[in-house]
Amino acid sequence: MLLALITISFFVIKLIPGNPFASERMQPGAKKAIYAYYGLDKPVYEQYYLYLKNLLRGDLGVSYKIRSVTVNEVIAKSFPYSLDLGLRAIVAAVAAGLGLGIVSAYRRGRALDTFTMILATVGTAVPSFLVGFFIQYLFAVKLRWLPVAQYTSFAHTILPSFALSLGMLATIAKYARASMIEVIYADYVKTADAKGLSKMRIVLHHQLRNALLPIVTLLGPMVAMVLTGTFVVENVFAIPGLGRYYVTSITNLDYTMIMGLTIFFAGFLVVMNLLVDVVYVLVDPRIKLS
Amino acid sequence: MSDAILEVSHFGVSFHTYAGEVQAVRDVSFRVSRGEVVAIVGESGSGKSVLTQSLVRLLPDPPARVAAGGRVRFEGEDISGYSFRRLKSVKGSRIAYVFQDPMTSLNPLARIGDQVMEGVVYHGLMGRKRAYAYALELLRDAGIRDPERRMGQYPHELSGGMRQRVMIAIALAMRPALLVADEPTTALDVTTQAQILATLKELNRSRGMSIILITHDMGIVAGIARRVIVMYGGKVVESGSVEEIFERSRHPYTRSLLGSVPRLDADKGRELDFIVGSPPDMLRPPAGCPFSPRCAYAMALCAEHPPAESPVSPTHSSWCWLLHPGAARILESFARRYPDRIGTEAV
Repeated sequence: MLLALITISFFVIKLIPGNPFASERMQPGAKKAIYAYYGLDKPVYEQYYLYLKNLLRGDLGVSYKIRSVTVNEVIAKSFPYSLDLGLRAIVAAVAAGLGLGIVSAYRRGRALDTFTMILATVGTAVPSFLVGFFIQYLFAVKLRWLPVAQYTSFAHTILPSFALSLGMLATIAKYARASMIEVIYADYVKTADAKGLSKMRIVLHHQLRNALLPIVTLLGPMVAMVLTGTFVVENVFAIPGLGRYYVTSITNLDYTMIMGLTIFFAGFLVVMNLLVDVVYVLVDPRIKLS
Repeated sequence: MSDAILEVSHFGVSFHTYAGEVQAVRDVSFRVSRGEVVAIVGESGSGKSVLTQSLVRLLPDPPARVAAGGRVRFEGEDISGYSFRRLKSVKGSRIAYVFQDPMTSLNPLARIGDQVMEGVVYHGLMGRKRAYAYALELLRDAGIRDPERRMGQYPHELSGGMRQRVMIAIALAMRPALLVADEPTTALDVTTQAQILATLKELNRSRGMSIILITHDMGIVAGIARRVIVMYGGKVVESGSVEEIFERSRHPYTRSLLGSVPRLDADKGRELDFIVGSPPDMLRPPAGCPFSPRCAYAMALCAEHPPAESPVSPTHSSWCWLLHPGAARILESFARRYPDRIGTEAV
């Protein structure tokens, strides 16, 4: 599957009109030399073959635009930023989303429930770059509580994490509320109640675990959401993460960078989804690895 | 009588919905003696389950609200005003429940053993080690043959009948004085049904445990119960011993219910008897007798005034205007319509 992805993106990128050096004015001789240096003078199928050969050795090639830097180096340097941002966003989304969802399930129709529902609707409807610009303007430019951009201290992480997490937070809150309400009326909860257990024990042992199960399925798509979210949010907040490089490499037609990052993202997603599946087997006894 | 284990009087439950107040149970009174098996029968929606589950308030409020003014006396103790906290000492240890659908009544994420042991361990009656051995014993009592293997399994690994046996084991765990079995066999096939009922009967005999059996299967009633309470539209319409209800019923609803039981010895090609119409809309229940809109013998009076209890014998009561002294003539036509169902003494 990864191979198909590599092949398709390799040729699609070549289909884009222009090339990495089209914008630079050069002597014909220099141009030829550069083409030869990067192997662009060879036929496309040969380039493809060479690329695969290098890839097998774990070499993603050299950036066409950022001189004397390999794609591997870019990933090694900027992935930690993206990972950090993504993790913060996921943790915030899960914690706040679950909390809001569960509490509003128990207090249906009250103020907090209404707040959760509004937040859930707004959170899913408004794209993260809008959220990003908005909170950047409000909290950093107007109120001056938090730094506008960059990613150097904890205070710097708050706004981008929030912008990235809001969509997920909304989805989780909505699902958590719905599955919690379902569970409140479940037959096995009545069985537990009929045993004379305390409210606390019924909630912790019989409701929560069952209500959280559907949330685990959300984790897979969530990782994907965070990933695509970083493209946008990192740009808005000028964070030197992978997403930012990805976007600039596309506008620059930096062939090797686009390819390398695409492969990296794809591989990352595959691994994460595998992990989610493993988690699913661990929490639900009804599902067996087969 | 002093040997009453449960005395319910003027008990009502209503559901508050967007459409209005649904009066699921209205002014119900009945009693259960120690060691007795009482069947509550009635069609779907007649309030059987709501009634029994509301005794210890198992239904979430909102929407289910127990009406003020009702009394529930259990083992001489008035539990009707009890808070959730105080009811903890009643639920499970003194009144236990087996629900209708074994497929959904067990926690899908917990092992069978843990679910059986939970009650006794939580209430501090024994430690986990002793509880484990005890749970094995309970499962065996409930008719499970290889309890050691079942203890570590999850509900989805068990069949429906097996799960219902687990439910029974859970219910028995704290040696309740009263077991409420809410259509325990409806979701099961016929052979399993018979086994479960035999198990319940045996438990009633060996432990002297009272049982309230909710069902709409008249065959089950005849096989296991000593007394029958017939409910319709949230009210009790007739109650009496099994013989009195089956052979000398004095209520048109009970008679039609019995009349609609399919018979193996009926003529081939004969259509099944059924009760014309549908159960009352409980949002706007009839002011009088709930059965009056479908009753073949209804009088103008029936729709407007609820009939009072008419004692037929010390153990047999019927809530029907036909039993009023002035209604004797109507009973004669009643006898003509159900010649095979009516005892001669009824006319």
